[in-house]
Amino acid sequence: MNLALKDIRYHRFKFFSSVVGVGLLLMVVLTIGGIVRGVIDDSASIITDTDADLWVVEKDTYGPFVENSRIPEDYYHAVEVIPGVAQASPLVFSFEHVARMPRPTPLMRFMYLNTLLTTKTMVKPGWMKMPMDQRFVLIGYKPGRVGGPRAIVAGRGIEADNYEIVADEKAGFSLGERLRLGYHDYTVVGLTRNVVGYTADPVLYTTLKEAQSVVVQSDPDLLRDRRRRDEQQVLPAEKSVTPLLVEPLARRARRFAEDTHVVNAIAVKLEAGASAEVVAREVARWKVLDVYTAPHQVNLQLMGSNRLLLFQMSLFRLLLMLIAGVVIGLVIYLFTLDKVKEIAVLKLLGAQGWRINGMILQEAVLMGALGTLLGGVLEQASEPYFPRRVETTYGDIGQMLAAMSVIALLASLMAVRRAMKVDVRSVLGV
Amino acid sequence: MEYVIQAEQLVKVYGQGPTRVEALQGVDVSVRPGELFAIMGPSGSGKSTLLHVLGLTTEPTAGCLILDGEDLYRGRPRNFQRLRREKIGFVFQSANLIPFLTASENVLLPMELAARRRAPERVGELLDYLGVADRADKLPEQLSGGEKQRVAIARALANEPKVILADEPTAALDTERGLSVMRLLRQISNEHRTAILVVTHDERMISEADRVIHLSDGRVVDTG
Repeated sequence: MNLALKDIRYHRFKFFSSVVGVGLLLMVVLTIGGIVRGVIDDSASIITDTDADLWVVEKDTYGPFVENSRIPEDYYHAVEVIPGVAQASPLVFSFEHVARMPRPTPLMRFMYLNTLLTTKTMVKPGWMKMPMDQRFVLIGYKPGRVGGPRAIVAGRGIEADNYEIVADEKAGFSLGERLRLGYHDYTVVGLTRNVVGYTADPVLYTTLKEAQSVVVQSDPDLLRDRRRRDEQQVLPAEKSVTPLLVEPLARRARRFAEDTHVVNAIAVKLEAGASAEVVAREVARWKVLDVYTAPHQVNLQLMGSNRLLLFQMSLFRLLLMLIAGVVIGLVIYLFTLDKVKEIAVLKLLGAQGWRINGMILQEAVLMGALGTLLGGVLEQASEPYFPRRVETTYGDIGQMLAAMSVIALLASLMAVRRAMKVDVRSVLGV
Repeated sequence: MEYVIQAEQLVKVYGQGPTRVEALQGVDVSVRPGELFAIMGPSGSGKSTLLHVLGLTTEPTAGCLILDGEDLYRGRPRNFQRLRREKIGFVFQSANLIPFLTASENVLLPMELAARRRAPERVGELLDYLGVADRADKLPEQLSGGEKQRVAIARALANEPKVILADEPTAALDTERGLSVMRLLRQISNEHRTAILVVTHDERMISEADRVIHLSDGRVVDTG
């Protein structure tokens, strides 16, 4: 006869409501862990998805993700011939927006309203106005080279300059949808999943040339004005001295004004067995370039831009785990205290210590295990509904299960200690 | 005839100095197999302490206690937990059945604790004997006061103990049910040759007892 199971059957409402309470608490703890992992994954998303070994950027910048880096596009040819480099790919990155916000889901609306209410005393009028545009990270790459989306979950990739984009699902665009970027309309031809910038803004891919036209190309009116000024200020002087140079200079000025052959970084894929350090040293010999390894680029985002958020969340997670541990321990302990009289009767009937302790221990471990599993299931089920990435792995849930088992054991040891102190005389001759 | 339980000159002292209380001051109790023995006395007379000593939950300060021929406080230390499990049955004032076990499981429990064979068959026999076989699958909360007490008696009998200690077994019952329980205990002592010690306040219940002692201030003041 298993006393623990009999007791649970009898006190099922109490037991399972305690399990639900423990489960909900652990769901929150797991979610916080998932948010921390989400921040880490978001910070590494583009770097890992690009799968480049080295990132070549403008000298003295941390670019292209956290600082502005601009280098001539054709430098990638020179990088590509360095021994050990398998491929060098010029890339454009830019934070952009389109004046179109996907229709918010009811959950998003609720979260917005909740934020409005809970921050009412913290903000000034206008601060919390809902944006009506979709922000994103635009990446321009040469199709067939590193830098493009690694996996397309719907539709197809981009093969040539054709005003097409591949967007992350988080942007809320659907296949075939047309967007106005810069001075052209683009069609969404493919979708990716979980490819976002460190700010959690979704990534949109297009070809390098088209991205350059969006990011680098100036407003046509501005260009015309600039050309006119160049002609008025520079050319009259040249006209009087060297009339034959006027036309070539004007062409050069026009070309300079319209030059879009600028990229933000060159992603480098090394040959198998090549040393990243040696190649990086070779690239660094160029006085106008800096080079970072992929982990260093992730580090710049994670420990640069997201450092304080990460520290704060991790600390909060630790505190929450401690609180959850104490609360769950107390739930288990109090669950045992409710059985003091039954324990006294069992002891009086001559029940062996291991039998009473076994009952307490089994109930504690079962409550901890079921609570953790419930928390894990609820957390996994709720993950897709969070606006930012929340990612808890089975390993995280396994770790939580191990931690809960330890907490349950400690709590049940306290309960066992209390049970051993129960005076059997309390049920006899009173 | 040899006694099943024999206590001689039991003394139990609690506390020291000004808080010293002599709960038992040389009490003698001897009960034979099949004897129904009643212990009476007002509150504070030492009834509970005597019950605790006889129930092996409290060690006497002085005196001798022999259970089934074994002098418990002389020689090697005894395993009182095992002795309680195998040689003593308990019947409480409020039955004290384990609430999460059915009537039959409550009766089965002491047998499982003692790892007895044929336990399930014996559960059926005992419940039948006590007239609550039809309540076997009910939880204690589904039983009446009298039924609970019968199940508690069945539990006390489960391991065929040498002695049953009954603590105010009729206190929570009306007169009719109380008398019925006393008659039942009488019947058990006769048929099973089990020594039964009953602690009670109720004068009407002692009609079934073979012998009665009255305690006052930790001493036996009257025997009958």
